Order: sequence, then C-alpha cells, then structure tokens
Amino acid sequence: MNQDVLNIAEKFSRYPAGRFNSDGPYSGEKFRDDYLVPAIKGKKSLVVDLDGTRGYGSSFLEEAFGGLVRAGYTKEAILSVITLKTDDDSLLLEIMDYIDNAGH
Amino acid sequence: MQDTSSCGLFYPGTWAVIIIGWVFVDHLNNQRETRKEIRARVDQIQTWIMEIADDATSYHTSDRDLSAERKLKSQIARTTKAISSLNLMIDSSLPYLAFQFRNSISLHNFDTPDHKALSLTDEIIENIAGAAQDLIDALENTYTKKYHLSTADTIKSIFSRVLFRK
Repeated sequence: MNQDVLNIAEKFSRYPAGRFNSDGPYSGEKFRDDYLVPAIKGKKSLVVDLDGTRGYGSSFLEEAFGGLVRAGYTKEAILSVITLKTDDDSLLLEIMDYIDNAGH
Repeated sequence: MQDTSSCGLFYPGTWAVIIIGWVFVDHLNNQRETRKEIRARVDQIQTWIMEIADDATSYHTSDRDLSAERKLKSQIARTTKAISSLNLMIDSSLPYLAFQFRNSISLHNFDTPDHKALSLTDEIIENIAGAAQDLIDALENTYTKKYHLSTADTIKSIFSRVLFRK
C-alpha cells in the first residue's frame, strides 16, 4: 500500500511552536487540523516524519496528537492511519504517551 | 644438527597461540576505546542536560523570551537525539526519561503568549530539576552497569554472551 510521507520540517514548519492557533501560526492545533484529521477522516495512510525541525515543544506534540483523542478519534483509528518516523526515540514515546493518556 | 621441524617456531600450536593472543588483545583494545568514547559522550550529554535545566529555569522565571524558547527546543532536540543514538549501544529506558525531561520544560507555560514568570518554588521549576537529575543519574547508572561490572558479573556476562549470543 502506498503511503504519503509528510515531513513536518518541509511541509509545515522547521519551527513548529505552541499548542493553540492563538499561540502562533505553526501550532499543534493547526498541524492536527490541517494534516492529521484529514488523513484520518479519509483513512489515507500517512507517514509523519518528525526529523528536520529545530525541535518540538511538548505542548505542540500534546495538542497535535493527544488532541486527536480529545477530538473523538480512538487510538486504534489514529494508529491505523498514522505512522511516526524519527531518529529520536523519545519523541515516539512522548507522542504515544499523549495518545494513551489524552484527556485523563 | 637440530631438526628445524622440531623448533618451537614452527609448531602450528605456537602460531595458533600467537594469533589467538593477538586477536584477544586487539579485542580488548577496541573495547577500551569504545568505552572511552561512550564515557566522553555521556559526560557531554550530562553537561548539556545541566545547561538546559539552567536555561529552562531562567526562561520560566522570566518574562517571555522567544529566542530562549527556540534555543531550548533546539538544545533539547540535540540532547534527546544524542541519547537515542547512545541507546543503540546501551539498552535502557533513557529515551523515556528524555521525554520526561522535555515534557517538564515545554508542556506548560511554554511557546505561548500566556507565559508567566514563575517563582523558583513553582512546581514546574521543581519538575525540571527533578527530571534533569533523573536523566543524569540514569545515564550514569546505564554506563556503570555496562562498563563497571563486578568480576563475577563480568564472567557471568561473558558466559551469557557466548552461550546465548547476546
């Protein structure tokens, strides 16, 4: 199955920052709504490549990925569509933790 | 005249001992070099963690500074990636503690216009110090477990590797 690859640094921003749109133009909320939600709604497999940015704040990651669960998508629905790719193991653990514990 | 075939130099066993000895010494030298490289890497990462914890404390106890936010994210990314690459050689829970460290700094009161200067006794500041110390300690413990085992543990480890090819 063909998977689209979304490199955040190239397609979104090298400087993702903030939780909400009110925090800045490249927030976790914007990333979630512009890229993740459409992929899940369309059930279109998406590889999210996290490498290449100048780093992430946890608030961005929590809103982008944990926010999906709060928006009503189950962990299974999220992971059936989205695959994470990075050299940094801590980012994978962090995002999975937010998906597991969002709203708790 | 002495028969040269009986000279020790020409015994196959002598050469076998020499070659095995050379391979063994070479292996030990390589191990020592690897250990030194990892020690230097661990020292460097521990220094970075302390610097980040200081910078993060300064950031959270001051008015919002956009350049400090960017610098912190970049410093954290460099450090957590370095820890991940270290983890290829040392099996441990370091990436989890690295995530906790980033989380302590940048989940709340970060990357937002609502940023406030906190007091030094605020929970966020205490969590940053705690997460930094946990990560530094874990790096040290992981290194110690791998390279400074007791003699009994070393022998056990060698047998375990030979028998189970770990």
